[in-house]
Amino acid sequence: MTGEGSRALRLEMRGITKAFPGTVACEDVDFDLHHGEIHALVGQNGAGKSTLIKVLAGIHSRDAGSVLIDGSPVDHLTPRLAHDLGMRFIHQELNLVPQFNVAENIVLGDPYPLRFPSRLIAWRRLNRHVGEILENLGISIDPRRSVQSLSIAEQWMVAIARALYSRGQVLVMDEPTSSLAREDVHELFDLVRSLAARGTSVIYISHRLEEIFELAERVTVLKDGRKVTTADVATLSLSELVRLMVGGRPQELYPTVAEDRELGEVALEADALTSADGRLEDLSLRVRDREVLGVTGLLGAGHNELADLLFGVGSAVSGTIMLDGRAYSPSSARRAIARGVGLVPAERRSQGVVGEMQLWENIILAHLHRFLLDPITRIVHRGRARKAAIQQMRALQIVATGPEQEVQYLSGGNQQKAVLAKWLLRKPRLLVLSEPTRGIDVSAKAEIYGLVRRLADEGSAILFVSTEVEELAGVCDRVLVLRRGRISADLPRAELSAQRIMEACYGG
Amino acid sequence: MKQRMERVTLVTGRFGTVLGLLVLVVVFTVLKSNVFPTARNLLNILNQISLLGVCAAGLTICLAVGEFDLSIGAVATLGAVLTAGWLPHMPLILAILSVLAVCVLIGLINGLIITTLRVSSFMTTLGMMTVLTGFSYWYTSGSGSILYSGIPKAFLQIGRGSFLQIPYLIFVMAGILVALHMLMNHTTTGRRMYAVGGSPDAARFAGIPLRALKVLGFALSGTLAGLTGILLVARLGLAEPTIGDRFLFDAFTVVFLGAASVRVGQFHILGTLIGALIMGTIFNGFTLLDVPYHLQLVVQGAILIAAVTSAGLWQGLLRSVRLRAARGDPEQMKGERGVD
Repeated sequence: MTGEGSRALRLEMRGITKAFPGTVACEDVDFDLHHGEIHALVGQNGAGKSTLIKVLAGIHSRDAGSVLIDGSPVDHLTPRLAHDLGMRFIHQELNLVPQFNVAENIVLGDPYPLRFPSRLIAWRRLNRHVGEILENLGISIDPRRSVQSLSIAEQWMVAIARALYSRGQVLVMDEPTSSLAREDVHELFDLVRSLAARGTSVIYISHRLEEIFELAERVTVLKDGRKVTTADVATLSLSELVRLMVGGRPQELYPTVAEDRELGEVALEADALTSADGRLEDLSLRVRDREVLGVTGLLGAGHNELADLLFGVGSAVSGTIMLDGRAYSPSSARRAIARGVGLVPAERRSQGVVGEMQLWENIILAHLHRFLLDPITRIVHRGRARKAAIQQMRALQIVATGPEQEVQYLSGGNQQKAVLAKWLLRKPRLLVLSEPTRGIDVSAKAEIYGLVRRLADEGSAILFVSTEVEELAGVCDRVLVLRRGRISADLPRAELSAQRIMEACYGG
Repeated sequence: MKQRMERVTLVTGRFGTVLGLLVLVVVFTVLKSNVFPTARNLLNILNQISLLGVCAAGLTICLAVGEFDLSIGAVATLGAVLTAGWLPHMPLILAILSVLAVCVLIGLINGLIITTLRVSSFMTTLGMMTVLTGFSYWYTSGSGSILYSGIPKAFLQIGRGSFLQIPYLIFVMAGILVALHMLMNHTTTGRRMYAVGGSPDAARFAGIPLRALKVLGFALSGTLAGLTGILLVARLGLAEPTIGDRFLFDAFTVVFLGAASVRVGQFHILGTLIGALIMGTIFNGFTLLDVPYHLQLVVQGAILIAAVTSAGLWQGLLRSVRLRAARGDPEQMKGERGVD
């Protein structure tokens, strides 16, 4: 029931605080939602958006604060209760059953219409019923189609239809368009707008700020677990929004980079790279010796795929890469390593280190062949290997009880240093770092930035892939911004700031 | 041109195994034209696969819900051994019901261990298989490992008699296949079991009770394996502790052949039937041709590998066709319908 001239509040979250060991994910966050409103929630990675949503979904229990749904306070929110109160969450994975058709996916969890005496499913009635609902929503998809044959945009529409079929009243959409082309998005938006017009409330989480300006009425910005502001979208510009998200951050974290550094020869040259899965399209770039080249973009822009591709994971469908003037087409990590390329992967625990192995073992892991007793038996000379590892430990100041400590017990920062040590065992030709300071505390970050710059000064070429715009601005000589697999901006040192990089990501 | 080839492959690929079956029938008909294509022989084939069909049907359900049951062979053995052991001492109906009750219980135990203690189904049913096998050996050890005395004639009639020239066992298999087909395709419970197997996350978020349905899956595979054992005694008139062993391998073969047929990538009753027919036909034809058993095994294994590989390729082709359609290739969009 909406009042005359003002809309009632469907949802109120006040003073929400949620902490996890070691970090406060949400602190004193307020959020409210009117009937029929489309309210965007934005913030960088780690700003607290998903924690806030999980609190609403009953997946995390809040440490402090209150939640009111339709005016009534809800004390112990569980997933079941959230569902009963009309909250519907649609995640990026969509959670459709791939073997089922549209009709069965929409009805999933709710009763099927049954034939009278036999209690068998009445398929025709189901298809007709679902067809009516789809028509009602303006979605023109045949309910008998298998969901696997639908485009992602259509799958989202089915997921939305399911949320509504099961009498959902608040729709939380998490990154609906990160894998959609601009054109596909329009139909989806029309649907969302028509739902809002009929009274469904929508919380829209997205990194694509231009869509927020197109779709949302209000936007709430989170940063470092706190709410920065809630504002009417109409009163903001793109760069103002970006500034609210990024804020100002002190720069002592980063080593000073001389303005007119001499760069070396071109180490790596990629030309017209296109990847098999379509993530990279006609990408060309150059990295020089002594250069720290940053690469970034929004989710799905292709920067992670580039890092993997240069290391032999994933495959280029067309294009050429030259390393040191010779053709370089790594089909495996081994080939990449043989050419002197190293990768500090984004998933440290699963791809960077072997947790159960000891520190020294992890450090020598990429260069075992250098410590073999002989090439036939391939037994590793423990003594020599251990000594080399200890040398690295000292050089990088890795804090551990000793070279025998299992890496899983090291702090995140020291684990990452172990990963770096692995590649520094033999000076790398090209070192690719992917989100290297994720999950690492501030002092360790500073150490890693220092190491990266030192490596560059000593002659290596470095590709620094990251989505943390502040560190890109602080550490890199140059930053490439990718959008949909192509380079959309090439920012020289003079232009590097968190604000500028972020704007470039959004196409500004 | 390439796209037309792809479409043809996608549409016909689903029926590859059926085609294989027809080829086998044709070949055997040609080679043994006076024996193979007779009504008697065809009924023979159906009779041969009837027990395998029953056992594999139960396994199909379990796999559909996303779990492995490796204990079915041992449960079949147990069912046979208990039946042969109890029949001389109890009224017929009571004995059969008791054996079935035991097997349902085993299925429930499997299901509960796996869903509440979160142990992998592979390991749990493997362990259960070993336990039951040990029990069967112990149970038959007193009688020198074979139980055969005291089995009522009426019971043996089930396994050997026929109605209108069609053996009773074929009716049993048919009845069970039809019932399970209806369950899985036309009831809420069955569809939800497919949901659980197809996307446990989607099922969970939709409020579907995964645990209960998985336990049901195990209960069904256990019960039908037990029934297989009972019918084994009815057919053979005896029970010994290795009697159900081959059902484990054969049932899995047949169900996976089925998952490569018609509804590629899904475990379903019709597919299982096709798989069973293929196996039965090979066995029958090869026997008529005096082909040694080990060669039959080789062929059976080769067909399974071929079927599963081609199913994988088929799914890969479907995925890439769809990927292209999703990217907006207008030629592709037209092709979508026929493949659904």
